[in-house]
Amino acid sequence: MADQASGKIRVTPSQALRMILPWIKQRIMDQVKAVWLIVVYLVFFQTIILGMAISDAAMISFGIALVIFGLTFFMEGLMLGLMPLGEIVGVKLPQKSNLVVILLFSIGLGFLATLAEPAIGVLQAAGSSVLPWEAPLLYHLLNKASGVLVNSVGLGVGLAVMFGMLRFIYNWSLKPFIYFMVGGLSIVTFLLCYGSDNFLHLAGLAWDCGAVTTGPVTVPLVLALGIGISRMVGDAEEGAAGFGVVTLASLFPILTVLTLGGLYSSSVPDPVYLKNDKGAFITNQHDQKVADPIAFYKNEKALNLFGNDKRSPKEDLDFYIAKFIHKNPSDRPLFLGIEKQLLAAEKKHAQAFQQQGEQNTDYLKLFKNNMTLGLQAICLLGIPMLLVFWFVLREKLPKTDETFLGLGFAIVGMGIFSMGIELGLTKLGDQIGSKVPAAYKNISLDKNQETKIDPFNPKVVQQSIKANGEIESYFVVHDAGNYKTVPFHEDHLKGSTYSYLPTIGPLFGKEGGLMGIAVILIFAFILGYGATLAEPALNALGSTVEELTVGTFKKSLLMQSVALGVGFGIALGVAKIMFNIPLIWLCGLPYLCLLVITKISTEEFVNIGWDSAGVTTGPITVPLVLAMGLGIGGQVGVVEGFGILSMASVCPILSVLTVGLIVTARRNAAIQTLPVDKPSTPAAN
Amino acid sequence: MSISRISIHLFRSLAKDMVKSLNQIGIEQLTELSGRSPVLQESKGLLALLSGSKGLSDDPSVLITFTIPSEKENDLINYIIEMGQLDLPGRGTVYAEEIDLPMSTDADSVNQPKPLSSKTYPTLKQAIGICCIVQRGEGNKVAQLILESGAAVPNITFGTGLGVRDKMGLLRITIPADKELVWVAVSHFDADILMDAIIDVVKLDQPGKGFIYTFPISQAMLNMQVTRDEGRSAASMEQVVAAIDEIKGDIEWRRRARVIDRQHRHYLKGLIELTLVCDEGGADELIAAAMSAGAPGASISKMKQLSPEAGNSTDSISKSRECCYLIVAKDSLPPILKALSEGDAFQKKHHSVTMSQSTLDAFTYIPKNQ
Repeated sequence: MADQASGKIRVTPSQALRMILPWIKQRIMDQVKAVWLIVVYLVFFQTIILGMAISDAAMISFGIALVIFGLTFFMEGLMLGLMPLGEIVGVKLPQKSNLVVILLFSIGLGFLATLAEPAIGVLQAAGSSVLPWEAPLLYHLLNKASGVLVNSVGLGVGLAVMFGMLRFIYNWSLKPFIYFMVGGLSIVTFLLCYGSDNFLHLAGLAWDCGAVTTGPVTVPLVLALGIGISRMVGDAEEGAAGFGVVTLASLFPILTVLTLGGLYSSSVPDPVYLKNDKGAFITNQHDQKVADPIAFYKNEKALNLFGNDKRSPKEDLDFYIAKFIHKNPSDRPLFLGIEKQLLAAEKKHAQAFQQQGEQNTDYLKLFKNNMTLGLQAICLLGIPMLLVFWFVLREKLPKTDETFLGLGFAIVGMGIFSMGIELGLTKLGDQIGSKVPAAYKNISLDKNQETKIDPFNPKVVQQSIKANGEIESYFVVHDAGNYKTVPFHEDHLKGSTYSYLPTIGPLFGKEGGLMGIAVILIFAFILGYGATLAEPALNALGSTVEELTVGTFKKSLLMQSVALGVGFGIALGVAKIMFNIPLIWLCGLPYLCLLVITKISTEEFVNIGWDSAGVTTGPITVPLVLAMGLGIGGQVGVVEGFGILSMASVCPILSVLTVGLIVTARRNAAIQTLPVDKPSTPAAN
Repeated sequence: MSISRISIHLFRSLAKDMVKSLNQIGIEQLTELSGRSPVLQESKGLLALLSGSKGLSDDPSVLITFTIPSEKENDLINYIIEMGQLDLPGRGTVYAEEIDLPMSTDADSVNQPKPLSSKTYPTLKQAIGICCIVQRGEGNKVAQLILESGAAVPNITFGTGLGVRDKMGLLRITIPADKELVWVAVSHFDADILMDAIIDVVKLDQPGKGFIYTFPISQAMLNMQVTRDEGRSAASMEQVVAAIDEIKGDIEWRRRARVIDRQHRHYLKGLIELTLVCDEGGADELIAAAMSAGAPGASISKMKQLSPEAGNSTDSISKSRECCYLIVAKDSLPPILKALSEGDAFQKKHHSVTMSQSTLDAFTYIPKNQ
């Protein structure tokens, strides 16, 4: 069998196949195990609990298959290519270069990481319903100034990686960073929010963007780099040196984004709120003050927020408002006083509004876009690493073929996987997200489920009276054995055809009942739990933790505690949206607990716990959570997706640190039960 | 001058003090390897639910190794037991083996401890060390068997395997390289029976399952606390055993009347365990050289060099080292050492150290046609 001369073993194609097939099967099964829970759960919830069919089922199944294949390639690519590369660069860097080079390299890497995995798309999605007159600063940063925002987040991540490496080199504890950054930034955020309504809206973005930027490529790479460096230079006593960078990468961008907000705050208008005749603020059903679009329109600074290559700022502003009214015709009365400008803009851009809404999935384009995304993410991070390794460190790569195969796998995997998410998971999430509120309140279904009655006999219409004397018309429909009341609107009757959108819910208990709310919170919990178990970055972190602690901190223990934490966090986040609890309460309290629990935890668990928070908000969780958050938010009339993500970051830290405290207590108990009367002086001397 | 290698498997949180105590008596050339030390424990509550662990509790441990002249061995073992309170069950294990330094270099740096006079503890003379190399994830099976036999508490370290796998080109990625190394020191009357049981439980007689070998230990203090379940008596069984040890001044009384009925297995005799320690990043190259000279393969673990002169410049010994265990035939030792020195193993490039000792029995799957 062995070819002694060349030292190589020749393998026949059939033998090779016998080796490769079980290997592929095993890897795919690993990912199926990671993903099945969330998929089965979503399908189960939609079909059994909500009792609705899944539209586009074939497409969604195809998308989910792509997610599994993509993840298989991507995880293998991480383990073969990216992580070994990061680690070897980390080991060689301190040997072959000096501190300045290490620090410059770190800043550059952090910056590139932000460009490589553009989280701005996620943030824009979360803030897609932000209105310029409600939150001018936030709107500006997410739209016209989004490039600057990305750069400032990049700077923040760069600084974080730099301080992370300094920590390893000088063996600094992570705790002071946490106390200073979390404590300091909380106070600063609070003061800014107190001082300006603009910052009130920006705070959510600032606290979210750090966690969102650290994606599935950045986290493993930075982890591996840190592990390499700390092994070479560190004197840490702890078993898990090399962690902590992800934490810093979640904290520093808060600082840079808030600073950026400060720089821009003078050039954007402050939000102005509508008042009634008595001079009191008008509020909507959630006690939020209603912004005054006219005041905004007339403020000269408003023009700073608009304008692009095609349209001048003034034109663009008119266009925006016209588009807004096109989408929300009921808000037209808000714009009394500028109708003339509005009509002109509506006339001018009428065609542009018509074109929207027609979307055909172009698979080739989708494939190309996602492959480019993968290529961009891996190359922007991988190529600089290779260049530094070859030309700055002048080293030979130990397993060149393996590394390149790994990088190739990672690119292909990332492409397929993000395509699958777009086709499968996001679609499934959107469908359920918009329907979940049916559990506790009555909602109307999508446009494509419009029901027509032909011929409609107006005789069936009856009248009812409300407590305040208002008269309402309705009729009763007999559908598949059930009698349902449907409100009657005269304008829905065209000729002999009456068309209406069927409504659904409340499925559990009364409208707004406890039972229905409980169902939604449980749904949110399991969604967060299942999605977290499928997150690639967390899987990589878990494997790394298990490897570094030689199996004393099992991957499964870490994943389970993080997933439980995320589940709780998301349930709390949904509660925030449903009851409109201010974020400061929901985040402030857990962060306060965190500072205390961090103080009493060991360095090892503090590093791992805080890092796991940064990796939870990844490509699987974020679209699902956002879809659900925006779905519920849309149904109850609250419009920001930001709070949920920060809750999903805080709670896993709490759960991991709590588990850490239990584990540490048990270990200490194992030694402390023994009589410890250590001799005071060593026998020698 | 004969040389002894001292290995201390210690609870991680006790390691810092131990290193300090060793430094105080002039032992500064130390290496440290992370490991875990499983004990029997019924897991209860939230933790068991989350981790899904079955009856074993894994504690972080550290393997500290260094070399000293053999005549100091006795004093030193007693000093270590005293400093680490290893006579109390559940804290750690220490053992000494006589080794050779086949390629003497500066990097060898045998420690010269200051003269010591300390208490004498009853230790186990003529013990047997067992090292079992299995696939990642199989280690706890071996550990559970050892713990349930009551022989001693094993320690597990991680390593990667180099061997046949690396002659296959890129196809190698289909074979997992991650290994677990299970270490345990036991009395000689436990060794054979335990070795056979381990071979059975992880099916080492089948291809690709792993390797096991035993080696002589000149002196040892074992950690006998195999279980952490709360006792309901005034003293735990381990404490009773320790007390009788002290009265008898020996642990020979523990010999069990077992009928040793060894299965008819073909044990490999007279092999050499060659330990090669080099700067991180060099192991692949050096092991490739050794393999071309007849070594069948190696297991590599990452370890930390605690010597004061270790640093991160290219000239000094690296703080981050790789420790390779090779089991080779006696005849092939000289050509392997030659190949290693031709690969600049002992120059500044790698700062290698080699240690060798004879193994007693070894066992692995051997294809029939060979």
